[in-house]
Amino acid sequence: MSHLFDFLRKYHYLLLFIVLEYVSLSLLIRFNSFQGSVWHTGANTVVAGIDRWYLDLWSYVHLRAVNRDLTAQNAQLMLENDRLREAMMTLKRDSTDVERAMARNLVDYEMIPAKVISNSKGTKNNYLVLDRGSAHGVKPEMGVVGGGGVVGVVYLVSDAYSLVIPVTNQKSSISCRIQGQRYFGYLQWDGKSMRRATVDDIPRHAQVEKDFVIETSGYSSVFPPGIFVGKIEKVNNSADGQSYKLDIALGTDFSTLREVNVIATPYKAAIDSLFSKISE
Amino acid sequence: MALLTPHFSLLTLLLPPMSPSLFSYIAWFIVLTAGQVIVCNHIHLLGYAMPMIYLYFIMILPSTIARWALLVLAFVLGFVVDLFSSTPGMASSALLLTALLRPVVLTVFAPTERGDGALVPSVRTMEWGCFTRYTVGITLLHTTTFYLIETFSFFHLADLLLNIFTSTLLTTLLILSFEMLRNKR
Repeated sequence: MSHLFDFLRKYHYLLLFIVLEYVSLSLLIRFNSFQGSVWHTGANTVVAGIDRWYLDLWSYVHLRAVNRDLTAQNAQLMLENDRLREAMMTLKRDSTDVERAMARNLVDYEMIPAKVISNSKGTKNNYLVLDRGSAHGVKPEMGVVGGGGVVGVVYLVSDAYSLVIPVTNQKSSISCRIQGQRYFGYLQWDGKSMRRATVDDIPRHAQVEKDFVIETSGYSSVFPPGIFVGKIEKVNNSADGQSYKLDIALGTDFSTLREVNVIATPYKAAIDSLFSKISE
Repeated sequence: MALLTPHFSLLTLLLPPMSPSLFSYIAWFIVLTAGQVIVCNHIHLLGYAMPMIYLYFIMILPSTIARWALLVLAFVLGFVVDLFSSTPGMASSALLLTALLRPVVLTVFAPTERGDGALVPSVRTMEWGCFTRYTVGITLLHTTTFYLIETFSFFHLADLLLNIFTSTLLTTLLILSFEMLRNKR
């Protein structure tokens, strides 16, 4: 202990130097935009790299559990497949024109598969980081979907990574409708639960019930119409009493989200160029 | 009382060569900071050289000063310069490193025949040869750190080296002329 004090007494100026240099460099990075931008982008690449490395390790360690889950899921799906095939044999029901048209439309969408490498949970404004960036064709404002339905919208893109504003972010606002009806509203998140969101502005003459399906409306060019968002859990009155406010159980479980697809919307550029022609 | 004498001038005030008073150090601090932010910050000779005369203040402090005091003074000086040049942290971080290494530089360039006593760096105590080498050492150290922090990269190595070289040259010239003025009787 006395050695420690001796050391401190002898080299206390080094400690002071480190403290003052830290203050200076903090000022430098905080108030000088160029140095700040270099630091932040550099640091963020490092952070994303570490996150990715950790994810790889995590996936490897949990391979056994994942394998077991997959086997169970596979067995369940095969059973379900059998049952459905049987049901189809008896019903001989043909799919409707709309469904077939939608399936045909979805063929044209180019999907960019991506992994979630960083996922904030439980905070007011959550963000996701994907391991695909502009080098793989991801651009800002592309839609992101997962196995459970809508995930979010790409916000920022770097070469190898992209930042997504998920549904569970209060800035997120995705246009959606009730399946089979034309009434649409905006999906908002109230910050309370990772599994719930709300849809506002549904007119009172709409016929809504619990367990009705909510899907994307296609009114924005981000998502094609008809992508699953969630199910109605409860029908409430909105604050002004003029419309319904729906509580939605989200299809996507954000706390276990790993594999997602980015929708490279082919007609977004075409729509944008049309809008720019209007403004000319 | 010195302030009231008719022959008072800024130069006489700054001039005690062997043992500068606290007051003269304060005066140097103000003069150098003001000169830096009002004049020198706007000089970009050939687009590269910027004189950093505030280094002179760190250079002329006596060798007996505590290292922590040297660091604090360097930080305050750098902070004030930064404040007026709207480059927070740039000069102060470079100046801190310079102040940390000043005792080493001083030991390297100090005249060998002197005793163990206090050394107040100036041409009176060190002669022109030693003092010039000391000035070049400190200035080169500071400009190198300063421009490394300013560019924050090694991409434009030629520009960086040109910046460092020309600024060192200009700063050394200015500091040596200050030294000449200070010791002119």
